[in-house]
Amino acid sequence: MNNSLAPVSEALAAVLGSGRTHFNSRVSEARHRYPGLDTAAFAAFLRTGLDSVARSVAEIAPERTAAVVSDAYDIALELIAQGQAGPGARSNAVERVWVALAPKLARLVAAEPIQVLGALSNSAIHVTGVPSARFDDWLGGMATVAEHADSTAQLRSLGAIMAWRAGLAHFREGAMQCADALPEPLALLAMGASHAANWPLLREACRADPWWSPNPVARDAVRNGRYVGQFTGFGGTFAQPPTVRACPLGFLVRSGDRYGLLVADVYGAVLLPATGDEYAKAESTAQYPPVQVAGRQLVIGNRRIDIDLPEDGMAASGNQHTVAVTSPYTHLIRLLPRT
Amino acid sequence: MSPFDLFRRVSQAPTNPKVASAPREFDVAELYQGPIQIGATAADEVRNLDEKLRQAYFWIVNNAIISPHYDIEYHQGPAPTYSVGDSKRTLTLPSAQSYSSFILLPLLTFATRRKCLFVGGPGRGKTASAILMAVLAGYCVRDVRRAMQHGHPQMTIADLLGNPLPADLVAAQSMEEIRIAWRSWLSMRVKIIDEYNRIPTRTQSALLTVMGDNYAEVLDHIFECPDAAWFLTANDDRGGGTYQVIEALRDRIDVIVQALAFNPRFLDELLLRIEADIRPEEVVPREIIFTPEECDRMVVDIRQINIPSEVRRRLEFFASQFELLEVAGAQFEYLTKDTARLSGADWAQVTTSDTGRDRLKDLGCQTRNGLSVRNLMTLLLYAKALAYFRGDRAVDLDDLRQILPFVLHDKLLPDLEAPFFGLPENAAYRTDRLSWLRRLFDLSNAEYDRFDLDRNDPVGELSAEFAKGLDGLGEGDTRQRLTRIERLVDERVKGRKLYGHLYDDLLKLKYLHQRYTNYLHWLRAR
Repeated sequence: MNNSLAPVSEALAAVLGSGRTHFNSRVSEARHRYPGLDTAAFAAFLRTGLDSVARSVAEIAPERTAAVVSDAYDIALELIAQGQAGPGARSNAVERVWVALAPKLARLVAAEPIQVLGALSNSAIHVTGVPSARFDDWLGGMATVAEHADSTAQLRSLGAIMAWRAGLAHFREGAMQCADALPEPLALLAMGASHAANWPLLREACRADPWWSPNPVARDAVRNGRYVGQFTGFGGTFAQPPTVRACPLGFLVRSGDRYGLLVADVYGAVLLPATGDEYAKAESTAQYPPVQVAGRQLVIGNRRIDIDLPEDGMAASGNQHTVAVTSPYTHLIRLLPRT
Repeated sequence: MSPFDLFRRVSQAPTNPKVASAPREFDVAELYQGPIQIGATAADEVRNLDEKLRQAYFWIVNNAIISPHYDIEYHQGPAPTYSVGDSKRTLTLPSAQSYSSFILLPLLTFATRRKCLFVGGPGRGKTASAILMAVLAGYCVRDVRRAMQHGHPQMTIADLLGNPLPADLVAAQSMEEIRIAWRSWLSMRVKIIDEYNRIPTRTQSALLTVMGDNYAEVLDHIFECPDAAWFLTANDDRGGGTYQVIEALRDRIDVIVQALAFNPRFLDELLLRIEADIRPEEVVPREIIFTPEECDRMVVDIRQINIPSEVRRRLEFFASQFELLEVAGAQFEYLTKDTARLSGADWAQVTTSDTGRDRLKDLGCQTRNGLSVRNLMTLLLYAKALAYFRGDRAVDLDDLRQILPFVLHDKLLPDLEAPFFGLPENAAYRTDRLSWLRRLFDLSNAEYDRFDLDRNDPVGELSAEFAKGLDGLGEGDTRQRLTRIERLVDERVKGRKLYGHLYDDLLKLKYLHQRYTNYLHWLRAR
């Protein structure tokens, strides 16, 4: 069905009708600010995202519908104006959040519409902005756990944990701190662990080994490591074959005149901007357990791992938990857990 | 606040993004930062004050003062330039974040608590900009408007500072018994004097005391004012006001900013303001308002910004160009423009007799005066403030180059009869003083490079050696140093014309010689 022709719910229609002048003037102001504002896209988003929110709030707190619609309308206007929502948006992540997730949180939305819709929209944009993150995993995880949140603060904590589990590896420590602040059953649920587990023990296990997960399937999936990078010409990250230096947070990466910080764990790998100074100051790998390259094999302790790269120029660098393998013949970095 | 608010939005993104080299901390709060503003987060609260200052700048640029003039240009790599018009003026598209002086200079004045004069025609936003600075300091618009002093020809000292209470005037037996109703603006941390060149001369003198010494005096009663940023406006700073501004008052002004013309291409912004009935000063976002403690901290932070010796040396070299006037005195120390000025001699006559030097090449010939200590201190402080604003911990040469014309605008006076201004390619510098000052600094730097002073500066080496102290220095070593100084003087004066930088070098060598001589006497007398 064409969204632009779909009728809106009675709840939304009533609020829009009663505040017609106000809502129209908001669009006029927005058009001044953003001359390229696509009003057709905005109208379409009203019928999908905003209507979903209005409908869900009207069911549980009809007295809050007008206030929620007013705030949600402004948020929607901002999102459309910035090209973050609507049919012409860079991704449909925001729309999916408004349609699939926000209605499940109607109670929280009714209480704090700006905080909840703003946080959900911003986080959807943030997660989709990280090339290696898995937005579907984040949204799916949130759809499972978010309705158990009693407050906006709990919702934000759950969002952070789900973002970590969806591949934002640098949120690892912050997400664990968020889990600390949650009731234990909710923290375990967010971590995908059995409700019979013990959160402090689980947290210590996570801290001891970033490649550990309470979910054995996730652990097995990264047993042979993960690949990061690819040639920019093929839509990847590196213009030249990268080199790496181990550091406590992960690896400092150099590719041509660009530098990055690679943070990886069982849930994903993220490449963040870094400087040449940071690369130059990267600590010597001597402080970490040794890693050896023997022919086309990597030797980590008692393990010998075949590497599918030419022997010439192959290099390995390791920190406490991870080993990174690079070669002048590839734009990929292979990351392997030490254990 | 609505999440969609045209005027109260402050960008959440870093205003001058730089990849952090400090220890990294990953904050999950980043997840919730984005196009929708959802209130202050913990990350916002610990934001650095320099970032807050930049947020204030960009809010003003984007929402308050519609000023499209990016005249403080920075570059990072090559920047496209275009030669425009019959006069072949250069239009540059800066390759790094550049700024509008009309907003940046007042902000730096606010941050350093100095004094800024806005000049320009009526209706160009001078007063509005000054009011915004007071609002940034946390004052409400109504109080700012009431406290603003409007210069007018009948303005008395009592109008400016306050009145004795009438009852006390009648009943008091002594001056101490007369209470004074001080004007409220005196206690404010941002002070605004509108159209200061319309204030009568006598009242200007009272204003000078407040500006210069930070206190007000009426009938032997003293009111101590807090440290404050001052903003003054003048429609015409070249004598077009009702009263001539007294020189001491002009000298107290630290920077002068010109309100440039409005670009009609931005008329839609004005239209929006009319339609939305918005006065920017009334909708300043809470996030960019500074508390008194933050203002105090900012001043301290700015003072901590480092000026590397390479930058300082270039400023020394620049400043040394201007004071020398060889024909003004007989004794070496008095060969200065100040000597000529104090004697009341005719300037044209004095400069005509100054022969023997290349008056086109000598930068000192372009000015009628030299730089004062106050000018140099102001220059150093504003250079630090600019580096701070840009998020740097040290001043670089570009910071100094950009800030210098605004500080010296009214301080380094051009000698328009000098041969430099007679050249057709320099004709524009006769009227565009900012560009002339920047050109002057560029020429000075070119000379500095030509002399290779970064690597070859014997006077600097002797100074550094002396700065290590005299403790434990023996008689033999002292004599050796004295000999080195004498040889250097001998070498410097041999067959060379006297230029400003050489004059200052020789005076420095004389100073060092005198200090070692005194030390030698002391050693002998022990």
